[in-house]
Amino acid sequence: MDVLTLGNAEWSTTFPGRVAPYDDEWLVSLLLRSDEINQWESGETFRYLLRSTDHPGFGPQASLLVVPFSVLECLAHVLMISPHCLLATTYSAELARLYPSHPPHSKLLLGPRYYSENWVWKRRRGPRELSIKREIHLCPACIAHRRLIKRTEALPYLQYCPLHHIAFQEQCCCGAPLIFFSRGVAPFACSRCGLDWAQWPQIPIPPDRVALEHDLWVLYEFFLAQGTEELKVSALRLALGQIRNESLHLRLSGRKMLQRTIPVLSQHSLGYIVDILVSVGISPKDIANAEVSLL
Amino acid sequence: MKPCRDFLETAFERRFQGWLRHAWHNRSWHVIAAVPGSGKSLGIHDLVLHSGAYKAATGTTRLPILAVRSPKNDAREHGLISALSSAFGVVPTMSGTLRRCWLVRMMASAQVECLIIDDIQDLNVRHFAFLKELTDNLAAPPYQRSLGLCFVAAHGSKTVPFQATFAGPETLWRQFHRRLDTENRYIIIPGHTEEEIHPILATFEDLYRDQLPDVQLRRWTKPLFTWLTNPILDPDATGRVTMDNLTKLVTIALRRAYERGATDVDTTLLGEVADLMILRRDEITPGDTLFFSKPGPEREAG
Repeated sequence: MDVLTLGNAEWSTTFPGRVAPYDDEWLVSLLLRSDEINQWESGETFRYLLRSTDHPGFGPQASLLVVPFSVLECLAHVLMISPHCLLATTYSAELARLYPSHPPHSKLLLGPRYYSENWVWKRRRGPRELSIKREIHLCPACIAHRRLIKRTEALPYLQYCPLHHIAFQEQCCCGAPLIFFSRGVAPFACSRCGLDWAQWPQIPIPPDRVALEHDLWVLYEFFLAQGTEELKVSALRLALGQIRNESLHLRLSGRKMLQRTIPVLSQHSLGYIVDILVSVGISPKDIANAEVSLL
Repeated sequence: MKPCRDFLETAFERRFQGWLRHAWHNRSWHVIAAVPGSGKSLGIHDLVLHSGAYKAATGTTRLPILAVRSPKNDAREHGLISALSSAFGVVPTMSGTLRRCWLVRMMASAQVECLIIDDIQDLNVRHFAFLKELTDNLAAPPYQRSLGLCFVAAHGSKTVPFQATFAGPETLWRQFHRRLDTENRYIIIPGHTEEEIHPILATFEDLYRDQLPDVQLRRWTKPLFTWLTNPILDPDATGRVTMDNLTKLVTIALRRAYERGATDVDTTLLGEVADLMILRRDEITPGDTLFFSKPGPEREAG
């Protein structure tokens, strides 16, 4: 329902201000927009959800890339929108399609080395610990234009906004790292100095990075929009057929690819698989052609 | 018999809502009183429902009139803060200090233009101090929003609750007294005259005609007015009829007529119910008496 009037019984069971997701909006951004229109401090909607559930798969460390449906239902209720509409703010459905034998989990997208930003923040002691943290970042232009953090900004290895062609920022000008939800500060603002994220630097993409970002983006788009288990296996088979050296040096993660069996590789995270494909130089078009030739 | 749940725009409601609208549009402050059972709460509810309040999925929320009842059994200001917050919907748990600040921001954001506090006889000095703080904060930068404010009270004599209090020498009461409308600080809304209950009876006829096809209530206007201005039902000798009493007398009589298979009510039946309300009002019903029907709950009118 677009407009809720006072005569409606749901008036008293919904938040004072209601928000609905934009196309490709990440749940993080929707929660922050809810905070902002309700005049709450950053993270109040998220903390409301935490208090409303004891679901074991949802806690303060949640990545918000995959969220239990019951939690989405709870949020849908107070915003008076469809929970399926909220499902599109996560990657639950896409990962379920790509990894049908696993319950959807954020590690299927990010890889096993993922730690939530809060975990690292609380326990970090030096640069070494920071090196294992998942990159959380945002596009200052998306924030400035629409208060938007897209789901795609959570995809591993992407460093530039595909829409604005500027670098994602992971820290404020004051040096404070990006923290999505911080008590005592306004939504969409630095947790230390309070600078609005929209004011963070907008650094254009360097010319030598354009092609790589494009390749990455189209591969993610391909897998997330139409990917299946079979398509993933087909892509890996194609990649393995093109590897000449014994050990492939992966271009994005800088790691060496050790496993060579498709059943094992296909269970790796989408980020890892995309790293392999980019390193070998395989495009969605190559995968589609290989599919056709198999038929 | 199916009871009617519709809001009736009676002469009292037109007078009462007229003053509420006056406060809303002129951002003026008043204490508005009427005897219990007049229909004050229903009038407030109806006005709020039709004030244009909405929550859009785009994030825009408008609540032009914020109406609450005074908190019961909570002498602290938190009870009033909670009541005002709850009028917006679900609000996460937050500290009292945060909630005070939030309420100011949210009222400004939702463009609240008029605040109505019902049953103000239950308010205390802490509640009034908070209301002053709230309205002052909204009036100050950056919001600069002045609100209409209606204190609605049930009164039992010719005096209005807090009239003597607001005239007191303490600073808080002087501040309130100054903010109240100069020309119309205290308003008593009278109940219905004999002429005014005539159209109400016509409305009742329309509402219940499908169940009592021959019902003609208007011809009993005079005896109804006489019964309902009896000192038992009109202890303040206002010479006016409250909607609560009128509704009770008429609907009980209509129900009894319906249960007896009649298609209209007569003066005997109306007199029987009037007798019940006046002479036998405190009569005890034996607990072993079974209801021969299940009447719907009486609708509150005041």
